[in-house]
Amino acid sequence: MKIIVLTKRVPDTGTPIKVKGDGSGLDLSSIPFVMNPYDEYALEAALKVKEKKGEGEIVLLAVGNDEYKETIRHGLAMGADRAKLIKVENPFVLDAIQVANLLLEEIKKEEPDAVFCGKKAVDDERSYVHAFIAQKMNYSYLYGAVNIDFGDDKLKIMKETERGLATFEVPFPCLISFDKCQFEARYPSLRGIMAAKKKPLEELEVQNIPENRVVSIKFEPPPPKKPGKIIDLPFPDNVKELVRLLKEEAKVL
Amino acid sequence: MPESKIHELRKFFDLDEYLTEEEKLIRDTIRDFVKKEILPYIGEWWLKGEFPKHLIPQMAELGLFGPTIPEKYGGAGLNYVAYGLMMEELEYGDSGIRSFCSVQSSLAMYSIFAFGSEEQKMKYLPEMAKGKLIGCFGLTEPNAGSDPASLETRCKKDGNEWIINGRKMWITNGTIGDLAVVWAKDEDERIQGFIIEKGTKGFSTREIKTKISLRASDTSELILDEVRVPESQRLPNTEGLKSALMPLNEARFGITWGCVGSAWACFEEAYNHSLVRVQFKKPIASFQITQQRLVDMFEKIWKAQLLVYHLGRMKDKGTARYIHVSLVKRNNTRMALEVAREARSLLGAYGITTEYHSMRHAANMDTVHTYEGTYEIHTLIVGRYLTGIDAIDR
Repeated sequence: MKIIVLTKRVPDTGTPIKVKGDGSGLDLSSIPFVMNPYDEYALEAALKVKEKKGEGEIVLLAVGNDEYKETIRHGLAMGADRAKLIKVENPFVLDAIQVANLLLEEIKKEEPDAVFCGKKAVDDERSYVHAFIAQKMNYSYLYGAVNIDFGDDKLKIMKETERGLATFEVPFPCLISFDKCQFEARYPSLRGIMAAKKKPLEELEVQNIPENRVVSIKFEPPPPKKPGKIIDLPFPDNVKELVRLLKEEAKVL
Repeated sequence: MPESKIHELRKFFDLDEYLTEEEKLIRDTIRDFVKKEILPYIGEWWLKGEFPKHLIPQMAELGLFGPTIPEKYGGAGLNYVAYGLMMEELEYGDSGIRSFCSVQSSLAMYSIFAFGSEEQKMKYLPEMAKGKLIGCFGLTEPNAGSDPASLETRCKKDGNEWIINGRKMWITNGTIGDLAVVWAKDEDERIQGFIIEKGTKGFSTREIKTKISLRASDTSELILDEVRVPESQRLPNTEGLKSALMPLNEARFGITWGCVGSAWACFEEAYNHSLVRVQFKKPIASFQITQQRLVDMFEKIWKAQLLVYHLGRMKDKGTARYIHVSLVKRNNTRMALEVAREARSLLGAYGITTEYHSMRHAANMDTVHTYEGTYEIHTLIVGRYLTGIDAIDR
């Protein structure tokens, strides 16, 4: 069985992001990057399926620049077997359809049994790349899995719904996107990290990237919070003043 | 209010530029592990005086035990810079956690790897790498600390067996350990090493519960009362005291890096606190005295960081001698002790609680400063090298 795991490199969500002074983009220098956490769940799910079946190949696939190799090595160290990196100079300017089209070419060549990925990237929140791929490939498709099991040559996928948990049986070939799961993604082991450098990481040069139709024109930081107001009056005038402000200014009473 | 930029400060001298992809990945993985599995709970474990035994399987899975030994014996074949980075990240969490790994890897496993027979290596090392067997190292005694040559534990050959009598003191992992590497003097006054398994008749341990330092670590006394072991439990390839001291040099190397991790943990919280703590209507970071204290800490930590990096590269090349390790152990333990105390003081009253980390690190560092060769002994080791005059054992 072959599973492709789509992966993206994103800024660590714990770090404050700065906007460039001229608003042309984000200042990403000296920001730590990590594998998109939802993709990490997807990779863990793929590893679980491979372990349950006792055989299989897990291929990481990404569109990115040289720096992506660090993220990919993390995935290889977790246990993926090999990786393909579709090289572009600046992955941040690509729109979702461009990314999906680039991935699609390689998915067609690989003919996997399944494609796993995170439900969205935590940086740009684009959750339609995988939907586009599923549609183009005519795959069985499920969004937002929280758990996975493999048996009788089928995938059983659990999803959270408003009324509780639902379990689906999904035939191959399929594309599953993963939400925050009921299991944790494993840490790469030191031995896994040492082994990762011997695993194949194929870098693919792209000849013609179709033009991007959706272009970002301006970035701005969220407006700073307005400072709070301190009512500097003795009791009970301060309570009266507070009630007045809530009624007249905030208009919440 | 000024914004915290810890990440930028940690890249000030851009060490990443000089690390391989694997080294960075190892560092980041252990950092992530410590952040998620250790930092939220360490204050509580420390107060309870408990080593988090439940983490042993996960630590083994990560490969933290014996990472530098060859894969054949269950290791990961790591270089020493990667090993150092791992120790730095572990001690960012707590010196007790790092000590556990140091003793398992650098003292117990290394002794068996360096001085054991092939059968001993195959019997113990893979199981120790898996965390199924925990080891400790018994050299220090109630009356033999800085002067290990004066140890009083005796071993006597009796047919194909050895009879061992004596006591070992301040032994990390002593009680949770499944086996002990114990050093004893034979009838020819030659120091021999033995692997003694838990449950061997006459071998018992007693945990020291009254510590106010390294509380998240098991420190014990080993009692050897007419312990009989077969010749197959003796480490065959030792050369007296020199062999008993070699593993300590390995462990000290890990300590030099660990100190840097501990100091970063203290600096980071003191730095963040100084930016948000407002007194006299301004952040305390805006006072010149605070700035000087922050810069002093920052400078000390970076000097120590660059030193361990260079020491690590030397060790990988095979050019690091024990005198290099002594000098850096001396410098970095003092540095970490000073930074932890300074950070504690900058945090004011907050700093004395276990919600913050500096006081715990400061208390731990008091031990790290004196164990595995006291500050003074390392001074005299380097002093002897400089002058050619031995001031320790004249």
